[in-house]
Amino acid sequence: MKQVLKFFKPYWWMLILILITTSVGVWATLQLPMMMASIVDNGIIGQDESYIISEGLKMLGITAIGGVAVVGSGFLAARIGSGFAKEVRAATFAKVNSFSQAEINKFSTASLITRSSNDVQQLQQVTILILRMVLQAPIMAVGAVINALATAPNMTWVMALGVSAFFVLIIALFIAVMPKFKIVQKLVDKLNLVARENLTGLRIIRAFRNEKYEEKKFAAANEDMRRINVWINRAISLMQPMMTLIVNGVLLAIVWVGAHEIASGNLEIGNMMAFMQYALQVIMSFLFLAVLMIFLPRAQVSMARIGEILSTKNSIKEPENPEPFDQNMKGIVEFRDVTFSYPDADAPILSGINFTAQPGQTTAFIGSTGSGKSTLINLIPRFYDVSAGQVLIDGRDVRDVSHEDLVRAIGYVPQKGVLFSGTVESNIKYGAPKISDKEVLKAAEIAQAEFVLDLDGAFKHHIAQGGSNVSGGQKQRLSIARAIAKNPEIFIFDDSFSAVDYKTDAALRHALKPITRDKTVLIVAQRISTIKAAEQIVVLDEGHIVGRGTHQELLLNCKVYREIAQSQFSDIEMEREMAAIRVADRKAAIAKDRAGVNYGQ
Amino acid sequence: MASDQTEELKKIQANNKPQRGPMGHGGPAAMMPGGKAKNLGKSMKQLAGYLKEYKWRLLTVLIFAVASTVFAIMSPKILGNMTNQIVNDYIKIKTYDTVMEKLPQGATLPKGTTVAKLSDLMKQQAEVELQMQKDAIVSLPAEQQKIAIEKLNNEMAAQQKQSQEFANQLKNVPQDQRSEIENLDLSQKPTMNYGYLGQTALLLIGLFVLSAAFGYAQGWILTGVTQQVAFRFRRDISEKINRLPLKYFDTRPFGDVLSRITNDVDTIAQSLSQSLSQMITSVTMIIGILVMMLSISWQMTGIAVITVPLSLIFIVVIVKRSQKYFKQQQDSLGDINGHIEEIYAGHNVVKVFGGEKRAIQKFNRYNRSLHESAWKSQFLSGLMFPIMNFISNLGYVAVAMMGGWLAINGRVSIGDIQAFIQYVQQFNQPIMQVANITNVIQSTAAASERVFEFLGEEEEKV
Ligand SMILES: Nc1ncnc2c1ncn2[C@@H]1O[C@H](COP(=O)(O)OP(=O)(O)OP(=O)(O)O)[C@@H](O)[C@H]1O
Ligand SMILES: [Mg+2]
Repeated sequence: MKQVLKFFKPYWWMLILILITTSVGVWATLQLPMMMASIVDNGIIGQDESYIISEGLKMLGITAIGGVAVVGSGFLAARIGSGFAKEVRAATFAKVNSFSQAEINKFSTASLITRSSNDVQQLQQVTILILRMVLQAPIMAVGAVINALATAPNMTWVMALGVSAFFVLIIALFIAVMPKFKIVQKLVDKLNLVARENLTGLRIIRAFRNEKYEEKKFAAANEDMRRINVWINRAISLMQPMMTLIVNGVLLAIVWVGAHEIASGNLEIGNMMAFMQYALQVIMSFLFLAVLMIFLPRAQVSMARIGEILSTKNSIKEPENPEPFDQNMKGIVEFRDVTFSYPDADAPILSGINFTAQPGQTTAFIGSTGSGKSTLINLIPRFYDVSAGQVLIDGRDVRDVSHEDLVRAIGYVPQKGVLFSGTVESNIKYGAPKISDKEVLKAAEIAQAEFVLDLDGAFKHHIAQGGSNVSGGQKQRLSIARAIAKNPEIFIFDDSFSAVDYKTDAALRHALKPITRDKTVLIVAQRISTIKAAEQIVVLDEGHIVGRGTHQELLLNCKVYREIAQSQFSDIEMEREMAAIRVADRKAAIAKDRAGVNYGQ
Repeated sequence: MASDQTEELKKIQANNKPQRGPMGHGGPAAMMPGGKAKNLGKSMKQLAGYLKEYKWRLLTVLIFAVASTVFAIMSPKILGNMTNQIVNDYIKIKTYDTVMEKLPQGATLPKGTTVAKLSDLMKQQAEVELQMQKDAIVSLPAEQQKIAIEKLNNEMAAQQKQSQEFANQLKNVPQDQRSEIENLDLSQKPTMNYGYLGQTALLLIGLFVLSAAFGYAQGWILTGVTQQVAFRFRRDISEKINRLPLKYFDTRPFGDVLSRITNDVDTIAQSLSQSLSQMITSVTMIIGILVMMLSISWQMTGIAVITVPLSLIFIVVIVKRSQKYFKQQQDSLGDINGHIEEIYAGHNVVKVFGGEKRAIQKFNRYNRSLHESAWKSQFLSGLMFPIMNFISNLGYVAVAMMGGWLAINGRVSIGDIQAFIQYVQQFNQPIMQVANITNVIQSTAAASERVFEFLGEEEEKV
């Protein structure tokens, strides 16, 4: 709460100003009945025309002042409300930007989006509403009560009675209706569920001629819904007539009691009429306070949801004394006994992970879906931190390196291509804004993104929000180009080749060769063909490394790898592969034998 | 004036309601509560077809709504009559008190002594006294006569002044009450006419209760009808699902059908009851209030009615201007939401490629222009109510002045002014409602169009 409210601080003087303008507006509104009273008492009963005119002109002046004040309040309310929303929005956005993946997951991306946009918007609306209308209610109530006391102190009990009746009515309705609203929500869900079941099971229902049964089920929920809606709406439609009844009753009571007061000389006629106006104003003020009770909880919910974001502590911390990389860093990636589990999950997703990826080599990861490949490579750029063990780059723990240094060394291509609105060029240049057009072109060529040249405006082609106007494969290739353009020491491709066909896949790998000659390349892949040539293949199964070696070695020794291969190659291809490997293996054995023989001699 | 604000609250509530997805993605049109109907006439006709069955109940609603409104409109005038009675009696009491002040303590006047008689009596007595004193002067020595005459003259002037004051007090009474006052029997203290006041109060209570009862009965019946209609719509949709060819659903998301069952049907039920009862009561109220106002004074009515087009003109001007900013705000909101969505979804990439700073810079740019259009549109749309309020206050002042002048000339009474002020204050609300009714009808039509579209799809041939 505090986290959000503090954004009002820069507007403190406007808040004071709006308090003043609102008070002036209220003062003007309260002045009119009083002056009307003196017109009646002195002007009409006193038969004084000039008094009416002078008093009337004064009323005009006060009305004008009040009008200006209220316009001023509106202006200030709009400025404060939208300014406050602006600050909150900016702070929320900056905060989410600083989050690590762990925090993002805690909230979920969708929820973060709603909080940053809808909730802030809601807050703005309610702020303006409160400043413009609800703020004046208590001031008006106090002012009207004071004036009422001044005009007819003996009749204030009538006013109190009216206000109490009002509160009883509102609270009774609230208590009666609110619980039903919850039931309605449940019924809506139920109705939705029944209809959804009907829709999803349409084929089966038709096949078994179950339509009537479904319709009956729906009709039952529908009837419940109708009943409760009728009840609620009838209860609510009681509100208006009852309110009018109370207001009229109060006015009548004032006239009746007023007659007695006037007879005993305690009250002037005009004051009675003024008192009627004040009573109305007091009741209306309390009505607005009641409305506040409806709006405030909503704003509170929004505020709490935003406050939650702002008060979240980042789980990934910058090191206090960051260690820089060497001038000519190599990019050796090493996992040492790494265990990892997602926050709030007990079973580790990765455990006992040990391997080293050398520069100039390709290290590939393969495994069934959900085996933890993405999780593993996400530890390198610190999307998450390890639960135990270490991830090292050039012998330095990634947690001891500054975020800036760390990500500068990494070119990352996510599993799902991600583009940002702008142009093709701005996307490729995203990680290296200063590169030349030639370098952009080269990156695109290597990434096999020559389709760009056929686009309208080529590299200046517009990319829509989230890259929704290019295909998945095109997105993927531009993502690759973006990583290449950055020229990092370490390349991480998370399953980046699966969205393109075999031919492009091969061409891409071929084109990558020259520029990754002395770089560390980590590839997650689905297809064995993609990683066959890798110097090192790591086979993952349920978070454990179950095999490590070259393609040949793994085909011979790793059951999981062989199974994957079998599922991807046809029988004949598999035979051929195995035969080739057996030949190679035998050759190696013979060579070894020979060496042994020679040695033995 | 307060009712205007209730209207605004309702509007804000309505604006906040449609939060369908996490983001209103389909552009501004998709974020509107109901959007616009393509063929308003057709869908209204179809809806009328659905309502035909309830025509008797709806007719009852109409009669009850009119009755409730008429009873409600009658009461201020009757309350004004009560005030008039009080004013009348008050003046009598005050006259009695002033007269009695002049008489020695504890003195009573004989029965049948009216104010007129009393002032004649006083005049006669004064003349008798004068004569007596004159006689006395004559018998005085010459040098003392001069002083005595001077003294007498002074006394006479004072006495004349006093009786002049008394006469003036009578003149201060409004003309139509003057004769009544002149014939006031001063033998006993006049009191309020509690008999009349009590009767009128009872009559008013009766009217209040009748109005409330009819109002509630009207709402009660209407709710039954609209919910029945909603029930039928939902039932028909659910049955329709089972009669459509399977391939219909290949191209349409389930969410679309589901939203017709819940959102659209809900909108129809809500706006139907709103538009039907509001239309009736608003129109009745406008006519009724006009009639009552005219019955009090055409001059005052003229002044009150002039303020209506005045505020309407202001509203049109303001709405036009604020719409421009609302559009801008909507656009900025779209930009900023798009940016938020894209950056949050691509959070990993932003981090690895060091795009945080740029993302925040771009965000701040959008945020600034959103703020710019947001405060302008909020300010302008918020201006509507203060301005209307201001104009209605102007009307109030004008009515007070005009009414005061007419009252002095005895053409309206104080109770009339009181009633008139109540009418003026009630006048704005129905006019706003009528002005808003087109919006309500639009959203009803749009929602029912979507429902009828679905119900009208070609069915599977059996
Ligand atoms: N944010 C998360 N919170 C909790 N559990 C997660 C999260 N992300 C992934 N997991 C779980 O961790 C396991 C490994 O997921 P991961 O994404 O690493 O698999 P993967 O090998 O990359 O699969 P794929 O081939 O489908 O990409 C899965 O069981 C998944 O359910
Ligand atoms: Mg993955």
